[in-house]
Amino acid sequence: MTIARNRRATGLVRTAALALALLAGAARPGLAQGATAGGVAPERLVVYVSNEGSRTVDVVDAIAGRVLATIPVGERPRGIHLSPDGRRLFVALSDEHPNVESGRDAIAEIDVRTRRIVARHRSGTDPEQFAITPDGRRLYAANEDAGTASGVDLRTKRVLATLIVGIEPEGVAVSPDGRWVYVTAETSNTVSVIDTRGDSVVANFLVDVRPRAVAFAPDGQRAYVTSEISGTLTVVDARAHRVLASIPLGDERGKPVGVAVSPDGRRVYVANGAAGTVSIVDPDAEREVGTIAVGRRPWGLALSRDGRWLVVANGLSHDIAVVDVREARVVRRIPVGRLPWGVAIGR
Amino acid sequence: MSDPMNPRPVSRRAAACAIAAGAAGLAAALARPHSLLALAAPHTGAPHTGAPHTGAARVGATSADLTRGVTLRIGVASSDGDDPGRRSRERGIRMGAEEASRAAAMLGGAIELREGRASELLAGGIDALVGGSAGECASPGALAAAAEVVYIDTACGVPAAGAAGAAGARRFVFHLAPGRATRRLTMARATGPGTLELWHPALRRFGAAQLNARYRARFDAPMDSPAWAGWLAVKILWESASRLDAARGDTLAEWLVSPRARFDGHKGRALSFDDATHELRQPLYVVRAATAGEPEIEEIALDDAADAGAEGAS
Repeated sequence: MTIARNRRATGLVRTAALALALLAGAARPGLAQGATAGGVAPERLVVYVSNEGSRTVDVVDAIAGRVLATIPVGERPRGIHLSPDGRRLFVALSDEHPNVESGRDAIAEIDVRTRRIVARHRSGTDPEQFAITPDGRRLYAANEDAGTASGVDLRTKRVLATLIVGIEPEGVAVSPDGRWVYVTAETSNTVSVIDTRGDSVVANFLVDVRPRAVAFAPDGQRAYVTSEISGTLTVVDARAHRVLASIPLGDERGKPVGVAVSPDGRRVYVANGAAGTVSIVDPDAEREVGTIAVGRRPWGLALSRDGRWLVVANGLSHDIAVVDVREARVVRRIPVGRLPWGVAIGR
Repeated sequence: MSDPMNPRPVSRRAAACAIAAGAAGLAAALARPHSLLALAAPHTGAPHTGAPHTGAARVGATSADLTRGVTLRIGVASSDGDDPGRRSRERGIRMGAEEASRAAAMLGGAIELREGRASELLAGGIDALVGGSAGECASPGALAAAAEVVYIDTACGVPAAGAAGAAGARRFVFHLAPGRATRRLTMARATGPGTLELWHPALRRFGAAQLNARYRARFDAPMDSPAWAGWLAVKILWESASRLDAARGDTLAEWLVSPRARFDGHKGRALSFDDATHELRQPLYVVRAATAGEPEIEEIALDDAADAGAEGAS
């Protein structure tokens, strides 16, 4: 009953979203034609979307507003990142048995040109979030049920280390210089710091309640951690591995999850899950400076390299929202597969 | 190696349940089935069993108990009564303590469980008391309050108006199970009859699947309401100790009703204690058996008109 109602609603939302997209396309030639308004818009904005429900990865042309290709991946895809050179797409796949590592739990490596899976990396059970080092050689993944994080050599496919981190590890990020890996843990409210020279946990620190995602500022001085139950963004001194501040994010209903930092480091964007919004945070002023309504249950998000476009996966709207960061508004919503989880933006 | 079907009770051996930091904690964790500590040990070096070793890497602004190497001593009140939830509660407390020990060890602190009669535990010196035997609702709370020690009641709920417990005693007593008033209001909201539960092993959203899987892997049994309440009682205490300079007595009692005291019980929203009644504000579940497959579970949160949780997921 509920499902049927939701499906109808989804259909309406999709139709509405398409209509809006068409209207937006007509009214917003900047995005519709891929013109370089102000000289900063990219010629192309290719977005990769992991669809947890349909078990696919969509390749989306966000300028034209259409799905270019759909790559079936077999299992439930969640975390999604491009290699630093933009030629390989990595997608975390897990099966329905979170406590048992099966042959299907893997991080799939997809050749961006051929859109085919070219390798599967074993990274422990139930991989969800991971990060790739800036040199493109290693990948670090959280193993939620095992309470560990694994480092994998992408060339030899060897697991380099399996390290104990907090309970229910979730978010993973590598510092821009490749030295530190931060791993959040939902149940212990901690961040573990892995030193990639020697692969050991060198520090643990406490953040707010139920930390989810983590992102470093481009200069590596700060890191930002979202906490779902506290509804906060924690600012971390990423040199000293020390908490500097905790910023409350407006909406009571908000459950902060995905986080991205602008290329100049002056804005942090947080997807607020149930609140259906993205928060814009000024990290220097340590406060939220605005919110943007993006769709239902925004989860993963990513910024274009020039920082102009923010792309958000709306899990329960089954679409992605493309936000013009300068105008702080959604310029287009593009239907994708079911339950989009995360996005990666092409080079 | 412990038998997951028949785990040892929560430290029958008086004050010696040393699931604490350091070697004892590691040994206890290694004895657990499915533990991956052994796998990780060669790579981790020392930091996991003590304070972070890089000089600059201490926790930022906090000087909370657990980050100063303090041991949080939790008493578990034993009962003689015929208590159907006892085994589950003890298992939940045990898992809570194991997880708390691991988390505390990461920050440099430790957790110690002591089991015994409430009066003896209080005389021996503890930071907080956990109990919840259905047959003994009033006495552990009254004893703890007299000693100015926080008591977490996992099963009884807020006593009816006029029942035992002066305002002074209530100051130190906190309830994880709903009292009669909350039960009545919750059932009035339900779309039909059913059993009112704090937790259910078939819950999946908001990390419930992970918690249920951890419990099942640990005890080869489903996590039921008493198990969840036992687990949460310990989690609330160690989370408080991780935020407070002194997680005991007045300081702890005041903190538990402060706006900053928000806890994650894997129910998809912040749980907090009602300032007046000291009852945990939380979503509850009305469970109805299905003719086939999993039971129907209706989530009801009294303080929530908009049902903010409806859109969450995994």
